[in-house]
Amino acid sequence: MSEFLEAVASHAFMRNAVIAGLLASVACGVVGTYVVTRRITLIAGSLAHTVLGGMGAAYYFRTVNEWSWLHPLHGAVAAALVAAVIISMVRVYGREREDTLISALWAIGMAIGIMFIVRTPGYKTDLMTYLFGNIIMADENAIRVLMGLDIVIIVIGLLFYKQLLAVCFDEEYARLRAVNIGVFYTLLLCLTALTVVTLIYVVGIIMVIALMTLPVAVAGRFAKRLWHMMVLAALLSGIFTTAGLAISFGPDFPPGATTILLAGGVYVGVSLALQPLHRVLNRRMRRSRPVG
Amino acid sequence: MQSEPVIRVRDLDFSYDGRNLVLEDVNVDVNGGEFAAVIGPNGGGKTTLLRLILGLLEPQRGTIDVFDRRPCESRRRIGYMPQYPRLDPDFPVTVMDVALMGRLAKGPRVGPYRRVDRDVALGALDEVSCADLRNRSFSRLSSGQRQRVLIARALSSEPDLLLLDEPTSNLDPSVQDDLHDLLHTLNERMTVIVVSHDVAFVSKHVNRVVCVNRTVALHPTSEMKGDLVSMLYGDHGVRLVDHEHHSHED
Repeated sequence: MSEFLEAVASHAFMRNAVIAGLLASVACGVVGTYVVTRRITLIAGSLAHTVLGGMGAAYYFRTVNEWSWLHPLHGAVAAALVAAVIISMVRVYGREREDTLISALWAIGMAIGIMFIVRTPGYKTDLMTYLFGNIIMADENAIRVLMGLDIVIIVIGLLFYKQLLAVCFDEEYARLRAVNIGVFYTLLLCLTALTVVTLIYVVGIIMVIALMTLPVAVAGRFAKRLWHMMVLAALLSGIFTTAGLAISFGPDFPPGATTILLAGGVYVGVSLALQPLHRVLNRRMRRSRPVG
Repeated sequence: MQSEPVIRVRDLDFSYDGRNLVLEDVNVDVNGGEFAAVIGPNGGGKTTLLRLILGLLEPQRGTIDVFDRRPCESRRRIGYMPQYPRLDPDFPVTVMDVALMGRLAKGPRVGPYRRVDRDVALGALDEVSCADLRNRSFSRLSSGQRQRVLIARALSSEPDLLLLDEPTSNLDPSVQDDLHDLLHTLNERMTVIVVSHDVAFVSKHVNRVVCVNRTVALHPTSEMKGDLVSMLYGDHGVRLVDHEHHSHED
């Protein structure tokens, strides 16, 4: 542990890694809570994988056309937003099967990404970095983009809290109260897309859904209100990512996988610990509830 | 109390697939200040009629006016209570959070609810005797308390018309009686329409009955003879409705 603290004190890349993890955690707490309560984690998974298409394309054009201003993160944001709008359009206006489209985007995005990465000449970036994340790779540039995303996510997520809460809890009622469901559902998916991008740096495309849902699931055991759940999930997520980094540093474990295993362990532990209590409470409630 | 027609349905047909009519040639009037019960068997088209009134569905033929305008233009004047089982029982909201949702169309578009929104929502909770539950988790309430909180949510939008979908299902009889009394009190200042599959809902407070079973028959409950309904539903001891001058087609 002291080794890790020394590294943070002396190396900029370690500080960046910790900052990237904490920035992603705040977005993850706010948006992950909407995603879990609205039950759209499958969509979050699809958006995460679609991102590879955008990252691969940005990487290709950066190398081949020498567009040095183009960061793979830009491609990631664009791909995630496009996929979010497509899924939302189909949900609101279309007659297509929603889950089929979500799964198709998932695979098509990956296929595009692999194609571009393989065709990029010269030194090949490691596909594994995108898939499993490498928080150590977060440079100053990435931190700036992540911070911008974080501000957008948090400001929108909090300004429209009451509409998003209503859309997640009871969409039909929200619609009857003059909330534009099309706009807010699209907004929710776009926020999800941006959050996915911030998380990809921390744990990689494949493990995004886990970091988006596990801290929220643990927080859900204790939270009575949606914003309590957001605060608690953000704190837990910050602890998981930082601790994941610290634990992985000494023995040189992959930080993303370490973070997820830690989050998964806490989730299973909390679920098991609260299970008997939960059951007792349920039984008591059932006994006291009148049979109708 | 105003006596403008609150709901006017004329020659309405509706079908989901364009072939099989769920509602056929429906004509309904509900006047301001009335307490109307929409009853009929499950699958008879009650919920469809309700969704047409809310503007969630469009009729195939005919017109439907709510407060002399198209339904979706009058939504702000309608307080709506859906069937509870549609909602996620584990959702992290408090009673106050739920009641405040009724203020969505009145409160500011951006940012949190104002103080006046909180006051109105709390007043609505008080009216259904749930103000002391405001910080409780919605998922920990009994079914009767949940129905009341959902009524408070509808009331906090300060409606002129209150629409309730199956408010008494899953409630035991004493709680049902309390709910009837509450709706009767509310009826003193707004039009109330209740959808129920249970003919027992035609209580002493109801003054118009809309029977829906693909076609619709209207009955003022003042003209009470009541042999046919008791035969139709096999239910005695409730306020009976005269079907003599109408014929239900099936």
